[in-house]
Amino acid sequence: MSIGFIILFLGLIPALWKRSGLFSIVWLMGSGFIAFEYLEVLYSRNVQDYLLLFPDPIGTANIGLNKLSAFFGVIFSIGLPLGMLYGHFYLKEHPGPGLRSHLFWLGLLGLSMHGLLWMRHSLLFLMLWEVMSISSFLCVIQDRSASLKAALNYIITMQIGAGFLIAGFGLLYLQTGSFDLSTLAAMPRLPMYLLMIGFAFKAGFVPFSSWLPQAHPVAPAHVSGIMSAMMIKAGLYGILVIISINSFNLREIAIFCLISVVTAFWGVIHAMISSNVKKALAFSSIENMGIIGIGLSVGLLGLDAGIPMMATLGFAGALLHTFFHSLFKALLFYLSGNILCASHTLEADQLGGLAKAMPRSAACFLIGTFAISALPIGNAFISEFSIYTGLLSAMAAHDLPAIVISVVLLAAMAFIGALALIAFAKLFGIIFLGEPRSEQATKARECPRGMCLPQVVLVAGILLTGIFGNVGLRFVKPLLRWMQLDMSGYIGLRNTFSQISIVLGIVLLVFGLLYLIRKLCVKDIVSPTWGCGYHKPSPRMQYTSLAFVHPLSYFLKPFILIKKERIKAEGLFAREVEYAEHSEDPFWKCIVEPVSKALNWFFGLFSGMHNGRTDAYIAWCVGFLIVVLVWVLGFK
Amino acid sequence: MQEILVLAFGITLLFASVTNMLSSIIKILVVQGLILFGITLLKSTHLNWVGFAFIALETLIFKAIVIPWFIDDTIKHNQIHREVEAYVSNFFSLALMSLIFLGSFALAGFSGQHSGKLFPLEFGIAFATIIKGLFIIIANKKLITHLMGYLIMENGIFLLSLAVGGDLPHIISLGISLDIMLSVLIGVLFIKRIKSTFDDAESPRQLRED
Amino acid sequence: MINILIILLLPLFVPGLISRVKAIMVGRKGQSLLQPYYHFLKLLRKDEVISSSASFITRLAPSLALSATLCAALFVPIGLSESIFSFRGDVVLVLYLLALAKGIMVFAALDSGSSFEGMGASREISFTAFLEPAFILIMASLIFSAGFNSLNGLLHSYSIGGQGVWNIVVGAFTVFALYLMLLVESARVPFDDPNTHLELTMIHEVMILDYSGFSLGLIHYTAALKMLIYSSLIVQIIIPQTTSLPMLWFLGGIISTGIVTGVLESLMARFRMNRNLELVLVPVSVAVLAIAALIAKSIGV
Repeated sequence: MSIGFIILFLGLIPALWKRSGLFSIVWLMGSGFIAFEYLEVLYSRNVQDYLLLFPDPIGTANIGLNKLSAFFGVIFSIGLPLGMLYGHFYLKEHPGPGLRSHLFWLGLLGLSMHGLLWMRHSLLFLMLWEVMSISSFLCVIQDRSASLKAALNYIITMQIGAGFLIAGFGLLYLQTGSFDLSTLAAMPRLPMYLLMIGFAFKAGFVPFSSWLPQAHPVAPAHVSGIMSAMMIKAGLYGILVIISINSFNLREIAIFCLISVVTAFWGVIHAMISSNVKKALAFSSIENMGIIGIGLSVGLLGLDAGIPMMATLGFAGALLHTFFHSLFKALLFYLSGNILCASHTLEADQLGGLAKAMPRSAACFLIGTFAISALPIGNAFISEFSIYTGLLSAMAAHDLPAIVISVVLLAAMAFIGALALIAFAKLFGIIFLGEPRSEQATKARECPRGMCLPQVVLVAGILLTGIFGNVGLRFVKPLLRWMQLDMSGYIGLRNTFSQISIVLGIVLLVFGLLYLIRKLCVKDIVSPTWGCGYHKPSPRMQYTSLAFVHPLSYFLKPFILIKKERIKAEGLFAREVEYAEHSEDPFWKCIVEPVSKALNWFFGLFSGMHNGRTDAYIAWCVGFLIVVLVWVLGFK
Repeated sequence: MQEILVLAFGITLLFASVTNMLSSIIKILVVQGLILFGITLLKSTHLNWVGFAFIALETLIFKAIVIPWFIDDTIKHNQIHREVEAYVSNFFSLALMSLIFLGSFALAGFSGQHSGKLFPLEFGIAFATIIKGLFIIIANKKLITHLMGYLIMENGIFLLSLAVGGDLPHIISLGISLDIMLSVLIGVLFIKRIKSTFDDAESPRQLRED
Repeated sequence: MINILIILLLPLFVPGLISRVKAIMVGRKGQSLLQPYYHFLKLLRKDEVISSSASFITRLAPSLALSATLCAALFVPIGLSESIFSFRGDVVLVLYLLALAKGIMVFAALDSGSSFEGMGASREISFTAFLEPAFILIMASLIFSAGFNSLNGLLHSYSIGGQGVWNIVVGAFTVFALYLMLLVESARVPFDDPNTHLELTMIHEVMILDYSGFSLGLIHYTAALKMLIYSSLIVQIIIPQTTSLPMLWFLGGIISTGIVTGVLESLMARFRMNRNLELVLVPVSVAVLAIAALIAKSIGV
């Protein structure tokens, strides 16, 4: 097929020989070649198609790329080699058993993600989807000491999602008679809903997102980064394929919009109250998927209401955010690996003051925080700006449902953006700034240079796309044209981004000037922090993460299930007092747990049969045969 | 001019969500009565002596002077504690109020598109007032606050009758004023009766919060 | 050109005016109107004391905050002249530049390792959560009535003296909500008392407790500039369009805003902290009411 693919396939060989360095280099080379191919498809008209003959029932399979697959392909080919590179350095610091198989599954994961984009045949697509799920599960359990329960939760949820996909594709075959996805003009409703739900499982929309915050904290850092930055996008790819084929009526758009807003809100609230870095990042991924969903619904709404600018800007914003999210989320997950390396804990309340010990990582995390809170130098600002502009342009049109939905979305996005800023200000501030709160934090040292290399590359990418918004926009342009959207909105956005680049340039210039003046003219005297008259300040006096979000968490109590366990102080001279609280996932608690309890109870009824005595089993078999005999002879 | 008054009516509802004092809600009732007086004056195209006197009696005298004075007197007489004791905090009250506004205006907009005689602005604010009155009744502990919520709801119904087009039908106003009078009388008597039977009209308050 | 001069020179005048008004209300003579300028120049000449817990964030935060706020100010029109930059949708950029300034100051507050500054940072950033939707909704209501335009264009095509009673209504709502936002963002009574130095009651003051010298001067200037931005937005809505002396109206408007704020500070006490967090939702409710009323009106009879 293509050279890049073959090189990537050959990458499995060094994996089996435990040569992770060679593995990453092969991945870098292969991704370079395959990225070149994807870019060629994206920018020129060469759409390569292969027809492969498989034995029945698969039949002829159409394998090729369209512009949408090429877009996602470029995202994968930028993120995956950086992930493999980081994994090489991370695994050197955290050696563990099973390196051979871990690298093999990692390579297989990357291959299946790329292969998914080429498949236009639903059965082959499903097969590669399953390979992706299983190989990611096997990558997640690399760290054997961590909980297996979360990983099992993950794979089972993925299988349920795959079940929906199988049902959807199966119904599609029954109703249209072919497996081919490239020739579909419109899908019948029921398979489309089933497919959307199946893809939503992977993408992490609420209420199917319980696996994300459980699977990511137990996985090693590079796997979390790859999964969150790229594998989730595979689900999004499926949703975009469906959107590009069908058109939706207002009610469906409203439902999609509602789900996206709830997803974003849910994700950001839980990110606010999590003190484990990886858990907060996982919830933040859920939030970002919600924002992409909001962007998509803005685009769909624009198409439905006939406001072309809103449609173009909404889709542009969603696609830009997909690309940018893969950059900054990967960066932050790799940095969490750095934190784990340096201080052996991921709890923010045990850390602190790491910026003095790890200045490089702290600077990268600062840029990542800017990116994830959509502050102007980071790149999420560019994508959210497009979505905001799309919504504001709808306010000037005169379509009532569009205006009402736009008002709600504007308020929701601004609120969610502010909450994201709070969540990551808390995370950055408590982990990196201030004084170390524990022994482990005091002993932290900067990680080796190799671990910082992929992060520096990602930071450069974030700054480039954040300050020069047109870079990202040029990347998205062929896709907008392919979706037949009105390009005047694109031209307006391009001019706007040039002006934003100029303004951001002025911000950085003035900042640089002032900082230089300060550095040259002002002398610093260092002395301990003002303790306001208290003579023995200690690091424990600093704010903790829950305390930081406390003013708002009071208002968010109805939305978060917090279970408190306490032993209260009793009597005049209390012996022991204890207080612990942890948040629970209501979807898990209210939907999955009762079902699994019911299933356990049901199967428990038959546990009497399991007594280990052979004669009892023979008796059951004989009884069953007698019943079947009677039934066949008597009733047939 | 009319629209400014109607929007000022809406602002009083926001004020009702924010305040913690019983006396503020009484002042809100007074202001609402005055605003309703102004609106009905501006809306009545033809006015004779009887009509004017009736409107003035109902809105200005009744809603803005007599009933608030009555309630104020009851509060002083029964020495009811001056705070509004709500079950939900002000934040949720305000957030809910914003949602109620959005919802009732959406309702007004969608029904206004089909019928021509509806004034969507008045309809929206009136509907929001009715729901706000209901909410005050649901979300507060004290009996006297329930009464005031009921009065706000009556104000809303009055505004609603103005919103559905046309001049002020006198029968509706008669019905409303009778309704209000009876309810206030009963409420006040009830409270006075409770006061004389038990020592205080409120539920016992805990000294310690858990 | 005159825009830049006003942006650079006017901000520090307003806090001085407010202090003077407060002093007169209490019966004192008060400090000179130019006192903040003297203070600023004195601070610029001084050296700094940096906490031993601080990292590079403390050193770069005031500069970044000032430059972000300055660039946000470049989008606000002064009088009837155009702002220096404008493009469609720049309201979002202004909002996020101000959020950048606030975010980096919050980081700097957490950097010092003091519990007071953490407390101030936590409270300050909780207020932001409700002000951002309010600002966007206000801008959305302006866009709804005036068409999609830049901040410059919106404020110029809008004025209270214009035709129709709805202009007055929407203008009044917008001014009210923006004024509440000004009080919260510039840390004025009744949301925060800029003169208190009791640790448990400070919000904005406590975030900068550890700063001194050059950085402190920059921070004071940034706070004054933020107040000027919000006051300009309010004044621009009030200026009538057909006037021959726009600059006079503008300066008069800024001075009146200062006087009103000073009087309000003298007459009111700061609200309890829990209540503040609840009340910060009021601009959002007012903006929702305004925009809902506008939409209903445009559809109805």
